[in-house]
Amino acid sequence: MFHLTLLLTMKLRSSILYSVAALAFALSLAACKSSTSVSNAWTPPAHAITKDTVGGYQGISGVMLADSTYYMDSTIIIPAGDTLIIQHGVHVIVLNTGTTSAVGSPEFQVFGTLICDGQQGDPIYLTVPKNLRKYADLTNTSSNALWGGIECAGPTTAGVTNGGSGDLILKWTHIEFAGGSSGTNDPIVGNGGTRYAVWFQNPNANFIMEDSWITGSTDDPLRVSSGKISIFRNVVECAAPTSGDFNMKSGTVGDIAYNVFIGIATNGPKLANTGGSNPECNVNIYNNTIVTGGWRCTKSGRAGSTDIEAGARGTEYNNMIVNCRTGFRLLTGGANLADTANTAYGYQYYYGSEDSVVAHFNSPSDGGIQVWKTGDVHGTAGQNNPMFVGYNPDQFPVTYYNKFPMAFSDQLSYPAFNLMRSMDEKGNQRFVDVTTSFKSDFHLQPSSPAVGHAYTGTVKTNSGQTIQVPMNAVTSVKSASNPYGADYTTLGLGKDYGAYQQDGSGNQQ
Amino acid sequence: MIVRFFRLAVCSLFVAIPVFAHAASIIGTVTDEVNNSPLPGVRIAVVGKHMGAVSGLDGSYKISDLAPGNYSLSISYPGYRDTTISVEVASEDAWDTLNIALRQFTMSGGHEVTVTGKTEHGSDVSTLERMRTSENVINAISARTIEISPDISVADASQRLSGVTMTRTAATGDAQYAIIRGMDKRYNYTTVNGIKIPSPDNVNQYVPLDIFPSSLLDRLEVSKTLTPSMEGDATGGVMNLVMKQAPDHEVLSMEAGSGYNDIFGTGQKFYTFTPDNAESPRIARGTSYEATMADFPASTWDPRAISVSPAANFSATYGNRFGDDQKLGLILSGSFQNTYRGANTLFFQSDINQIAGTPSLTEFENRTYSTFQRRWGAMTNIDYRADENNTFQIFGMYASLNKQEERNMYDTVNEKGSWPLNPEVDWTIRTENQTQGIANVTLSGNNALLGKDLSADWHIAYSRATLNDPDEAHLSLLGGVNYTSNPPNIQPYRVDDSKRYWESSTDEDKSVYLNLRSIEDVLGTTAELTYGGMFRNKTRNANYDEYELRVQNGQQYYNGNISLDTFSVYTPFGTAANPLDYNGHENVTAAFLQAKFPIGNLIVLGGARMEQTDFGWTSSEPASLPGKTGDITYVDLLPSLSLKYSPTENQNWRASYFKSISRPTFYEVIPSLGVPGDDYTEVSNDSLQRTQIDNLDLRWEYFPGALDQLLVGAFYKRLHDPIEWVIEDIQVNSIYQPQNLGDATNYGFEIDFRKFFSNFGISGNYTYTKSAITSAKVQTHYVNGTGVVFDTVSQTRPLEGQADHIGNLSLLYKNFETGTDAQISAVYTGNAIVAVSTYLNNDVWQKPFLQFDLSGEQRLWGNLSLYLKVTNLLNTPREEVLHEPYENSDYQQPIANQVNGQDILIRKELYDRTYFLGVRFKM
Repeated sequence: MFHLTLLLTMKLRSSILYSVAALAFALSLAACKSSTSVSNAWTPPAHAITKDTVGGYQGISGVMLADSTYYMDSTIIIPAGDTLIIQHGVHVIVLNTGTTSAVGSPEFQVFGTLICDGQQGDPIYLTVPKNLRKYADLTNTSSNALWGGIECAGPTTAGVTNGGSGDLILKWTHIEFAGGSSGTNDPIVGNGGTRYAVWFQNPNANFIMEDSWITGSTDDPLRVSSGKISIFRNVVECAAPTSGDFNMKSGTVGDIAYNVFIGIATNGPKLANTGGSNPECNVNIYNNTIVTGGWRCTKSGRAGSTDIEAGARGTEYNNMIVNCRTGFRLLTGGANLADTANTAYGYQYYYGSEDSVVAHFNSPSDGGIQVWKTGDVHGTAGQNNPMFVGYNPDQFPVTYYNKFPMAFSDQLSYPAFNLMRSMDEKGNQRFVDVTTSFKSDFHLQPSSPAVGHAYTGTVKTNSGQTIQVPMNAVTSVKSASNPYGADYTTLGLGKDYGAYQQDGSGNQQ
Repeated sequence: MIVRFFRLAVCSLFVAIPVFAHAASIIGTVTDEVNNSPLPGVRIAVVGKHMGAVSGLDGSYKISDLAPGNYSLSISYPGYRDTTISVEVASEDAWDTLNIALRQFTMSGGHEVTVTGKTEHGSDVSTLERMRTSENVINAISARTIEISPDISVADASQRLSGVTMTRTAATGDAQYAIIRGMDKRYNYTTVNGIKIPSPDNVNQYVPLDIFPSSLLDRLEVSKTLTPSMEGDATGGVMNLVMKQAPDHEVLSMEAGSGYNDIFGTGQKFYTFTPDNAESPRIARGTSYEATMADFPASTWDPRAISVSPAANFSATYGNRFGDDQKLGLILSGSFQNTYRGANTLFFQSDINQIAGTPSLTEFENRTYSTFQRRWGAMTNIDYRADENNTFQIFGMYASLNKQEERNMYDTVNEKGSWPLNPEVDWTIRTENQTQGIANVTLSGNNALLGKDLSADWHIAYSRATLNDPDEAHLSLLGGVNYTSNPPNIQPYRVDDSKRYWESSTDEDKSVYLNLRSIEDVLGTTAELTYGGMFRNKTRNANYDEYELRVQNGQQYYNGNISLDTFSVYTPFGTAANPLDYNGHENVTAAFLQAKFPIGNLIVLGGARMEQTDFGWTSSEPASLPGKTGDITYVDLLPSLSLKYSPTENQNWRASYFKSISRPTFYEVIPSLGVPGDDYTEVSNDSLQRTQIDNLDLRWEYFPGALDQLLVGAFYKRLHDPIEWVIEDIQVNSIYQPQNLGDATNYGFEIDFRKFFSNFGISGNYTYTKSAITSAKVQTHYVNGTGVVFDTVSQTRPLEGQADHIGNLSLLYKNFETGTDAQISAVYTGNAIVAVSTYLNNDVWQKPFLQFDLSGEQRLWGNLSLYLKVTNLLNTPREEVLHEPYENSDYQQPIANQVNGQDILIRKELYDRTYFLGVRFKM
């Protein structure tokens, strides 16, 4: 090109033309520069905690001291590589919870590690100010939440190249009124998107949740979009107004056991191998108690106790399913069928107060399992009452669940909320708008037909493969050199159906 | 009978040559004296009689019923000298042949002749002339061809060009974007009078051609090769819309018509709604404003059936020259079209069955569309011929397309795997009111400097493209029919979570162009050297808001009357950080040098172009993330060489090489928080490189007569770093991202022909294209014991939108004497991928598609004629399939519209026939 230009240029007759050509060529050469300047990520430095108000979109690390109260006035960030430890008895009170909704309200943005180290008798509370703790806000309208929750980064959250969050450990921790939609510009959630009360999404990190509570949420109370999980002995109450599951996606492996789900909108534990991560979603789901699940889901056919679909595999044993809209649903056909060959199930305990519930224990119209297995307990309406210590499943007709969320006044007159508790374990009133004391108790009476008949043997899949229960998928363990390492206690199959065991093991709530 | 052959060398304005004819009829052919090509439409009048003839498309004419005697024939044809010939008809019942050769009028002739006409702008002859003499490989269609074709928009007309396929909109089946020689939209650009225009699209940077009414055009050209003077980011080709120019004499034409879409005759209703034109609550009231239900009027999603009105179509053009020596030329043209269109679509949703690794049907949807379209445009062109060395021109245009579209969609869900025994039916109502606009103002000049050896042409242009799509409403209604009971229990629909969307964008281009052309003696030959440069500043501002409205009570039943308090606003701040919220600029500075010189019959045109691109942005994402702002500059050197060898006057051989680029779009590059898809989050890529393409072309052109042509060509393209959306990082946490994918190739050949036999003609083209690109696809394996494993595998496929065989065939009838034009046209588009899947073997293919259209025009009296356009004569369905067999055994019972063992049907659209009838007046 250069030579051609030169040659042609030298032959030009006119000096003006010569200049023009030279100018054009010079311009071309001058334009010959390439550059790239793209702004870098701004990572907030992690500050130690020096006062009782935290927030300000600041990086935070260190320790929230035992039995102290901290006020969170805006989002806090746990930067990659940093750890925040919340000691037992800490109350984190979330302020600025949004005016008409939870939109834009604070959240924990977790790029590093968060450890909530509560204790039995001295739990941690992540909640809103007392005057906002209204039972009505958990059960009416479209939002059961007032703030964001704990949102952990995934390895490919836009622009974040740190490999995702570290571990998340929740022990004896109350997460209340969390899971409201985000405002704009949330680096983890995105845009006005749905926040889950707890969202974990790193296949290489550990998520441990023990003896904790999630109360409220507008969508899933928990979503694990990949991770190594160990979820034991928790209580999930009043999750989601119309659609929400205890939701596990591809890349998730571990155990969900001895949990209690009260009135969840769609499903309790749900497995679907969507999202395109390896390994295959594989979770042992056993000895959970699921009461009045699925009734608020607006879409038919999806709800509502526990579910395995879309290429996921799992184990479903010893779960107690009482007055739920459908029984255990294992999709065996269609595009979204589960990995049935690697799935093992049996010994589910069903109870339905009415025929309309019994009809959906195992109905092909729900895409259900269609095969009764050994140890499955399923009778007619009113048969096989599990004989809870403090809850009569026949006390109101199923149509009440169907109407939920009903007007608050109606709820008071129909004590649907008897399923929940009005007091915490220290005897404090949980809700400012409910003064009566009520507490359901899903322990089994010793004479319950559910006692002693659950399965404790070796679990094998259809193809004869032995399944490890518990799976113990968590990889990092606590040690002297790794004091914040994952620290978890698991429990195998229990001989009584459901979350509560006569020997005192299982759920401690 | 004596047959004599006269070859008349007509040397002066009036000649009188005695012809002794013994016949009652004279037949013959009118040809060009120099190149012997037949001339169509030449008027041959018998002086003093109301008799005469007009030569046909092959130049032939016939004058009948002449009594014996002496006659004088007056022959006139624009661009040629008027000629008079004396003939003597000796006896009756005989035919005589009189062939007439006309001499073209040329400026350099030096004779004091007055030109009574010149080749009319927008006519077929001038368009062909442009193709023949062009420096590069072009195909073109004239305004007249479009006028008498079945087409009403530029997009419709484009599909008649060889090597061009059009992507169509689902709602109307109208052509919209051009794919040229199998190269997707991104590899082409659109110009108006050679000035690149911006796109109103907020995602892409290509221009929808259905926005332009065809009546504003002089001609439509597609250049398939680039010269250094052309912008370098076209690989398939450049669509150039050449707008009308001031004529040499007064011109006035008007057209009015009306039309109808057959689909509404078959019982389908037309639905209308009350559009909400308000700005997005976030844009109107600020980012801290919390929207309430008052911001979302219920009327927007409350469609009502109306009886459809007839379409309306008006256009008018006036042009003339004024002043001393007619220095000032003016043309004004405007067009207005209202159309009511419908479509009926069957659509199957499919999903990958992870266990089997193959697609499986999940949902059956029945969609009906009602679309009201208002397309209007206006243009003016004023030129001033100051003297023979200096002309100036100012051009302005605006084109706008408003679509008010209502869609009713009933879907039957197979979520449970038990479908279709047990379907539930959901209903979604969607209304959209979208307006796109494109404006351009260009000031141009052509000046001779330093005598005639150096001339300059320059352009200063401002263009603006806008998109406004306010308050698009999606109302979801659930579970209308439940077949579990027998008889089926018809349940009322329940209202579900619904959405409102706002989209808008403004793209502004400010550009200057300067080209200098000089005639030089270089290396012993006379060369034309062209130097030039350009600068364009493009800015794009895009806004997007999505408001999610959640049902307050899950058991609300729909009774056709949506009360506002059913919903609450779940995302009241809108979505300011959506990937479609951004500000970007793209500045292009270019300089080029090209030389054109003859070597015998060979014309060599070569040179190079340097383009510097400066691309920058401010993203809507939080500053804590990387890439909030960015600026990327790169330079391309784009050489080009084309050879044109003309062994005879009516034959060309062309060979060319050029290098081109394709730039990443704003949406692909600007970092954003990503859009969570069903399966994968879509993420942009700020390290995306432009694609660089080497192009080789070979073409033989033959112009045997007046309007006849035969073009045969072949092309080969090698793409380096083509940009494709692919799955990334499958092992950890998958994202869907645009990436540079190694190399791809695209090659093919094309044939384009036109042949006339007197009043009949046949024209057609055929293009074969084969392209290959290899990209990573997701495959789900099932491993015993381990279960489902997601993996990535490479799959080679054609480029998106590339059809293997495309062709057009038209049968034409023209009768100059009676003023009749008629044509029947067929467009064929072969197999092409219309949607690339992230999964292996899951791409959606459009089935071969053959559409017939009909049009005609008849002169009524004087300057008034009647026209008729009928499109989609056979109501050809447009079908899309997966290249995977449908198996009855995969489902509980056979699924309607699917055929066992054949490709899985994904989409079947029917648009029915559309008619236009109107009158045209031309002075």
